[in-house]
Amino acid sequence: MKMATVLEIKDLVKWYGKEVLALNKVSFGVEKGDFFVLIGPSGCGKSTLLKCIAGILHWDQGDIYIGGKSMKGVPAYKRDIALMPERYALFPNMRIFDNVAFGLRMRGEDISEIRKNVNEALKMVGLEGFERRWPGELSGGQQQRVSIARAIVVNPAVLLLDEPLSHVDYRLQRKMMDDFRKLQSELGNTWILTTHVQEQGLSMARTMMVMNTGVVEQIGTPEEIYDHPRTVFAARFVGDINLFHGEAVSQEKRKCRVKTEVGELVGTYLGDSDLRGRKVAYGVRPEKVKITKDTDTYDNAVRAKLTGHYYFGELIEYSFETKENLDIKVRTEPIECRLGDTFALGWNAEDGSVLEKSCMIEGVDIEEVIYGK
Amino acid sequence: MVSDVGDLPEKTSIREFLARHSSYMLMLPPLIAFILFMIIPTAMVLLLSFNAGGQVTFDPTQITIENYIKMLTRQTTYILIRDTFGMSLLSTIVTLIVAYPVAYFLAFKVESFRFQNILLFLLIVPYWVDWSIRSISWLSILGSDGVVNYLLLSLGWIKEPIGELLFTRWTLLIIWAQTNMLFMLFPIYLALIKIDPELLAVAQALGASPSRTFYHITFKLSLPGVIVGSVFVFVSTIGDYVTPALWAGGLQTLGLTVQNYAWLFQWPVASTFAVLMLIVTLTILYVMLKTVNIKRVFYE
Repeated sequence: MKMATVLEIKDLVKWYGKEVLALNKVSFGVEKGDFFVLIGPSGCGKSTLLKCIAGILHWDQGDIYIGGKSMKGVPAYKRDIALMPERYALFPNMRIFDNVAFGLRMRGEDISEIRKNVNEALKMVGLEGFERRWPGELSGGQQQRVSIARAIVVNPAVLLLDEPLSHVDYRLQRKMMDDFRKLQSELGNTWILTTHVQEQGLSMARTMMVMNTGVVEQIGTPEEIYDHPRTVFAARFVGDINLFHGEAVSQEKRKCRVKTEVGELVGTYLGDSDLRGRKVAYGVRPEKVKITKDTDTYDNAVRAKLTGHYYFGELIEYSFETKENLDIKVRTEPIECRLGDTFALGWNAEDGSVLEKSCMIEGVDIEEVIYGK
Repeated sequence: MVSDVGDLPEKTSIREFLARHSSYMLMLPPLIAFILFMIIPTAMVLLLSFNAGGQVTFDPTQITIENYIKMLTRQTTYILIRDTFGMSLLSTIVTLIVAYPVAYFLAFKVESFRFQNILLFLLIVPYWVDWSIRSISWLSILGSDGVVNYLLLSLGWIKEPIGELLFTRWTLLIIWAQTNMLFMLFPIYLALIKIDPELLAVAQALGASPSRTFYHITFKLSLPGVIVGSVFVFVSTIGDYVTPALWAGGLQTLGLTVQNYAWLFQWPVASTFAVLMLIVTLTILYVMLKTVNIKRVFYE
């Protein structure tokens, strides 16, 4: 069933001053009831985008439509949205109850309705009995939950959450991710959340959008993006991947053969360009690679020497080195092996991805984007 | 035997005592100054108000409450109280109305911090000029051949210069607003620049119009500054008896009354009025500070 689009962004351009292009013709749509995660490294423009949608930042070109209506010149307080900012921004002069009630009061609800909804919202975030407290008396995690309650209580068409999990510790993050999903499906409205942590994007999102230096790299379900990244950037930013560089030699339907440093590899290509003769990248996820003795079982096989391993708890990551001195990482259950042993590493065509470009904009150094300058 | 808790010292020498409490010793000089120049004089005023006649030192054998009875049974005392505190409150409000928009403009509309500082500096410059000269300069503005009258005359709106621009209660309000403006402006400015702009953005994203955002967030968070500024202005106008004497055209205030009696060497009566002034002022300040819980509004 195709659902109605609640938010549409068309060719959005935002400059900071004359030098920094924060949003470079960003276009996408968000369906009603979606849990939409914007993921990208810091400085990729995701927060800017969120602020434009919220109406607290002006953009230079393009337009934003909420519920089909253009938001050009519509001030923040007239939009059917609510924002949970990165640093919670609770009003220090109001008790928790008044903080949460703020949006409802501004919308002119009557007091019995406000009391009912505020209590419900506080219950949802697990903060009943905190009504009379002041923001300064709460821990970071509690403040954050108040901030969420304050945003969900107005039941907006679009709920915007800017890096909601970046200031809570790992264990609480896991719990909050769970809570977010439950809350969102209970409320049924549209959530747009930004994050720079791939785990959060993958596990919470129904739709995910990868951004890089103000452009959309890829939009899709977490599975689509993880299994079939379109660019090297998307592949690198969401999850780990082994990369090889080479030239496409043949292409039929969705299968593409690439001549790389380690030999010819066959992988999947989902785009519609003719890649033959072009420089491409080839990627395979560490957990898709199998360690075997026999080179014929899989579509692709590479011989490599074991050089090290990292213990991950449930899995072990083995590092291999090919004779061309290229690293290949493999994640698997523990095997019997010794450093220096040579193995055959194999994987099938559908587990390898042929990546057409390094990123959507030419000339961007993705190492710099991912790891910082 | 080894004790678990450590031995308690049995005797403390003076040297040890001093070493232990040395940080308190730092408070000693200001404490002495405070007692010498604040507590003792105030106590003397208080004591003297219970004497009668023309004496200048306290005489414990002649304690009387005659001064208080006289003062409180005279109608004029209440007119004095009304005029004194009424004018001070009014001038506090006028100063607030003038200073708030300026502070707001500086804090929110002037984006560069450097430029904010330059503007603040320019606001301070007139205060380098002596107070009396600053207030006399109003002669050339409001006087009968001053700027205002000249302007009105040359526009043909009036036929003769208006003499009432000077030496009325309004003159006093204008001059007080000008001389005390900075004491109101600075605390408000400091409260405003502490406000996280994100709070304002969030308020709007939650549905608050700019005017309601201003009232519920900006103004309420600037209240500590407003209160502190108001206290400054209120207290300094209460204590100021020279400006009313010079400019207010015969307005009698408590401060002037104290001064008059003191000049006539009626120190006990002057003290009685001084005590009255002190009590009313402290009461008003208490109410002002009670209305806003300053600690609450400042971030915990």
